[in-house]
Amino acid sequence: MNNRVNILRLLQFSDSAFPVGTFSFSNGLESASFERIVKDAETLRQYVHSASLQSAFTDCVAAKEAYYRIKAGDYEGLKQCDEYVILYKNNAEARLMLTRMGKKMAELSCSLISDPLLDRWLGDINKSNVNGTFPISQALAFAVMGLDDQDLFYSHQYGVINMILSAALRCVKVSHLDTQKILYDMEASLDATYLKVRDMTLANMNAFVPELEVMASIHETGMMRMFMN
Amino acid sequence: MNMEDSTSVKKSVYDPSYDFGERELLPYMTHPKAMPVGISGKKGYLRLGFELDSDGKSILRDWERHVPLIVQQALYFDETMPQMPCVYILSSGGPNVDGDRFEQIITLKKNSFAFISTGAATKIAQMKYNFSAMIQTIELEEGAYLEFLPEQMIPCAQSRYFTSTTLKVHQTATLFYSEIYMGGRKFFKEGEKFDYDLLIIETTGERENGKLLFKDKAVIKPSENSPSQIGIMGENEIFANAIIMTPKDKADLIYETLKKVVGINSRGFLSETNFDSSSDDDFNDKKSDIDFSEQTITNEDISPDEYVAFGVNHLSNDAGLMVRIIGKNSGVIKRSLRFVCSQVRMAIKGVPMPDEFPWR
Repeated sequence: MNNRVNILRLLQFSDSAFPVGTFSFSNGLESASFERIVKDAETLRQYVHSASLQSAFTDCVAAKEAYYRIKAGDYEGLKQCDEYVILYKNNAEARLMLTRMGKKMAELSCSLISDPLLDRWLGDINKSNVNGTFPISQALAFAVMGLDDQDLFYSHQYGVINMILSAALRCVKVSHLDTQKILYDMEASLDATYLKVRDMTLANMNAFVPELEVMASIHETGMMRMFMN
Repeated sequence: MNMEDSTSVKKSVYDPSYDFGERELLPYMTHPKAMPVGISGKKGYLRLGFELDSDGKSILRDWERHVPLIVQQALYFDETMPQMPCVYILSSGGPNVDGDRFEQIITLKKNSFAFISTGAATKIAQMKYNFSAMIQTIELEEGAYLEFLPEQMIPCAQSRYFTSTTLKVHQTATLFYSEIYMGGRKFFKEGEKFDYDLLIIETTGERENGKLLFKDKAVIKPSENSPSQIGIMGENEIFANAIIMTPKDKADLIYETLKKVVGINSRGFLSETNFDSSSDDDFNDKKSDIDFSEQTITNEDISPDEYVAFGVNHLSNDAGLMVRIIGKNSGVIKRSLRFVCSQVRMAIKGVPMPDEFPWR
């Protein structure tokens, strides 16, 4: 496969229009906006950066580890990575989001790509043998397509950042220009984060975002629910 | 206790070359010049074993302690649970210093119950060479009940602290485990706020058979990423966690109570208004059993300095609940945690916590 095809595949699987359901989620932004914690472009930038770090040091580490276990033919190791994604999510709606999107990603991948490993993964999701979280389904798709672990990291981060920015257009006083500027700037910071994630293992996964978790709780117990967490 | 007779796990923790597996600690492996890692006075060890005696009384049956960690005898001062042993853990050495290695093992045998706290806030002193570490294991057997509610940790400027806690809880037991971390010495000189070098706080929840239930790990390195960023701590400087491991039906009951106070206190966190506006009959029934007059925080009590944000979420694998609290005032946060613990005690033991001592 030539490099341009790889780039197109990367674009396709990272696109917000790729139907895995990202449009339904806001990572608690709805509550943060209501509480006036996120109220303009600068506060939104910080909020998105916090969410990006949270996913980088948990989901992206598990995805990267899963990617290498797939390449090594270690299916049990892949299942362990899937379990770790859930262990680090201390929020019911976040776990629901990751398993719903993970199943969608597996279904889509199976319909686009013929591969026995993808079929096995989707079969295990349907039989509830695995959680089938999004980062792991994504790692499988990328490994099978021949995209590398760096592509996987950048695609995952793009997805998280873009998910919140898209939600922000509906619940924060910011313009498309603001959100695109935040996205553009944050893309440049991903190299430094990748270098940290690259050297981390499952044992190093971590997240420290108490304010985000409070927002998720307010959202989960609240009445305003244009989005899920 | 002869530390050299301890198990290999204990030895390894006290071994100066022990690898905690954290790359963030690597810059801080140099031995302190005055008292190197692993020498007497820098390796604290505490084991507390609670169980029911032949009369069914919960007692602190056995303990081992090695300075600087010490413990007083169990006291029975709790007004609503006078049959519960209450134990305060103290550190005879004062603050945690450069190169300290501590280990705490707390075990509650079948159906026993206890309350554990610390005598005062724990400072993590300014460090030059190494770091301070605490490894904890808390194990609850069938039907056991523990309230672990220590005073706050205060990481001073240029301090480094690693703590790893394993909570092994039987599916019929209940554990309330809490921790409070200040942003630094608030009233020292111009006031410290996230001036420490590194905090690593790791907690793992397990069943008695070793099945992993959840993991929670914070790696906070303010020089690399500001905790004051929105989404992390925002304008707040204190964070507190409460982990409630309890059977699912009890966790659901406690969640229904706690979700009434989820939010930001500027709209009346834990206020009478908040409770009175509830239409939940079950909650109101329970509410009538609790004297909230001394436990709650009303709008009139709240100054801008007393902002507190409160959230509660379900842990994975039906392990229980995780409460996150962030704020600016340790008093409000401590009262909030005590309120949460009181709801747990109500759900499990049928009585609320008494008021905190006025000098605490």
